[in-house]
Amino acid sequence: MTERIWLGCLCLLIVIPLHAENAIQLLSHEGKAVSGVVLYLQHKAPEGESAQASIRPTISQRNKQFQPYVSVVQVGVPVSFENNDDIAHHIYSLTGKERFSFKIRKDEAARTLQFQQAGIIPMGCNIHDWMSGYLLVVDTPYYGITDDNGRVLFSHIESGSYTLRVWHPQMKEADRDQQHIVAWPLTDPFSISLTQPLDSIPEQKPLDDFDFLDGY
Amino acid sequence: MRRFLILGSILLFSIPQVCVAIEHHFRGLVDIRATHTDSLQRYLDGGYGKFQYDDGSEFSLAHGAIDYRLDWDEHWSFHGVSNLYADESRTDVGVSETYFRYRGVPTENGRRWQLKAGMLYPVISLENIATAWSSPYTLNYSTLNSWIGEEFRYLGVESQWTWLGKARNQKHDWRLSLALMSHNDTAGAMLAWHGWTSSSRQSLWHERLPLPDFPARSQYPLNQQAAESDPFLELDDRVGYHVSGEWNKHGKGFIRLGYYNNNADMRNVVNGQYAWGTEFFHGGIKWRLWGKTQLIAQWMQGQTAMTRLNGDIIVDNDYRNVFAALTRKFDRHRVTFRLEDFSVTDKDTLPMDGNGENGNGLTLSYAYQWHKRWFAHVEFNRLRSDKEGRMYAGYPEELTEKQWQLGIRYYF
Repeated sequence: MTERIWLGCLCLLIVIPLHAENAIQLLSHEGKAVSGVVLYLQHKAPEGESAQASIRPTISQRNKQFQPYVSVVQVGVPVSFENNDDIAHHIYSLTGKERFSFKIRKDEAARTLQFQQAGIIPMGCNIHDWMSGYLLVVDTPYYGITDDNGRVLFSHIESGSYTLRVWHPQMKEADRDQQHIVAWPLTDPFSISLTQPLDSIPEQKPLDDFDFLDGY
Repeated sequence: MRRFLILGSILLFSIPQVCVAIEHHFRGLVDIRATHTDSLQRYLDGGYGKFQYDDGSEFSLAHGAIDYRLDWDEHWSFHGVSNLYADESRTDVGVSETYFRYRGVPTENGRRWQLKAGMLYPVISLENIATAWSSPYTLNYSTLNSWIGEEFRYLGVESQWTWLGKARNQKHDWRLSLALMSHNDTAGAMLAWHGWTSSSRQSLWHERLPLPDFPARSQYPLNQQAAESDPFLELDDRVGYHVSGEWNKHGKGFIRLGYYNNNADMRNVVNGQYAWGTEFFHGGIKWRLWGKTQLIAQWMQGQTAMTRLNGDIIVDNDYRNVFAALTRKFDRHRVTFRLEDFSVTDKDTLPMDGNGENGNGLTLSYAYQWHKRWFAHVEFNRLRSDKEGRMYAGYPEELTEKQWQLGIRYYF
């Protein structure tokens, strides 16, 4: 029994560094970890159909805010909209080829949408103008949003050459996008840095902190 | 008439039900107050007291309101607001607003169009932003917005265009609104004769407002004037207008500027109700200064006049009002401090009808939110004014009025 435990620990020690190699870390231009930014890998030369991502994001309306502020989903994968407030919201997309607009009431089941084209979808609430959120639709199953350590963990990726793309609505770079060529699998811990600081993220709060405002 | 009403109701409730699900929403407010007032007979009963309560102490239902909204698709809704006021002198209940609203979804350029049609407030007040035109900051509205609540409502349409900056990756929005209106031809009468006041009253659509009993009213030409002003009348079939613009800096605040003109033909009198030509410029700013401290300030300047049928001036006044308030919310507490300065300049020569006034005001208000829907308020209001007209009733020209209020408000 003790031998098995030791063997298990040894396996973990071996496995953890292997997985760690699949992580990509995003740093600011000052070298600090940046969270909440989308990283995704695109085949340099796409080969056939990619495996579908299993992550089905949920975009919540909570405390009259879009949470999370930035979401990412693969083309064709369902996205859920869930109202956690005790009031109605009227969610709309501002741009894109698949514009949407719907009211989601306080006790209504989550709405689900699917997008067939990659692109940026800025969203708002037509009742609460301060609410703001973004959905990035990507044409790859390899994507994630950086955590508090600025990292996204990629797994089950075939060997090859990829374009790593970095996206956030507050990036100051052209097209709010930064690109790097990476060879997979990574041999060393890999980190990239933003060339410019992110712009300030808009505060999703009304000017007046009062629950019973009306449309005056 | 009854047949039309029944037919209208059937149309309103049945057609949308065929197309989409109708939704009914009820919101409202109950505001119960204990007050101690050091003033004169209140203006609501034809006196010169500037608050909504007579001299002395009393309990009252200062404001009861039901705000009903009917939604029948993403864009269209109907709104109706009824108010109830009950104090030791009288009980008033009636409608203060009722309108249809269309609100579009922003285009790719961030442009949104909204249309309101019905009985509406002009978009002026920066204080009256909560359910049923109540204020989250203070119990008594500023004198500027108390006048809006007393004499301004119209039947008309308000078209509003908003340009949302987020569509262009900008941190500010623009808004332009244009209203065309009728039924606001007598606005100005109450300001001329009882002067600036401060209250949380809103005139109801059916309400008649008693005028003070000053000597000129018993003499020609003012003996033609009715004893009560009907604030929401159409007398000349001319369309008035209100245009306003707004610049909104995300997360910081906004600035609003506008011009209101009821475009009244002053040569009209019907049943003792004179058309008053009333126009003013107004401006306002609401801005986060530091932390959660907010500045709310408004300014208004304009003129109002009434004439004989031949166009000769009877009453001709300029007026000006400015207030600035600082309000801060921390956790469940809100503190608001407001200073006001106001005047009416009497430009006519009608004897025994001095409309001139100069005054200032101070309000200190504290609110505690002990539950999501329950608020307790303590408020002190002080108004100091020089008003010539008060002397006709045997009161001093220079007067300081004070009021303490304890209010319990429940929003639902």
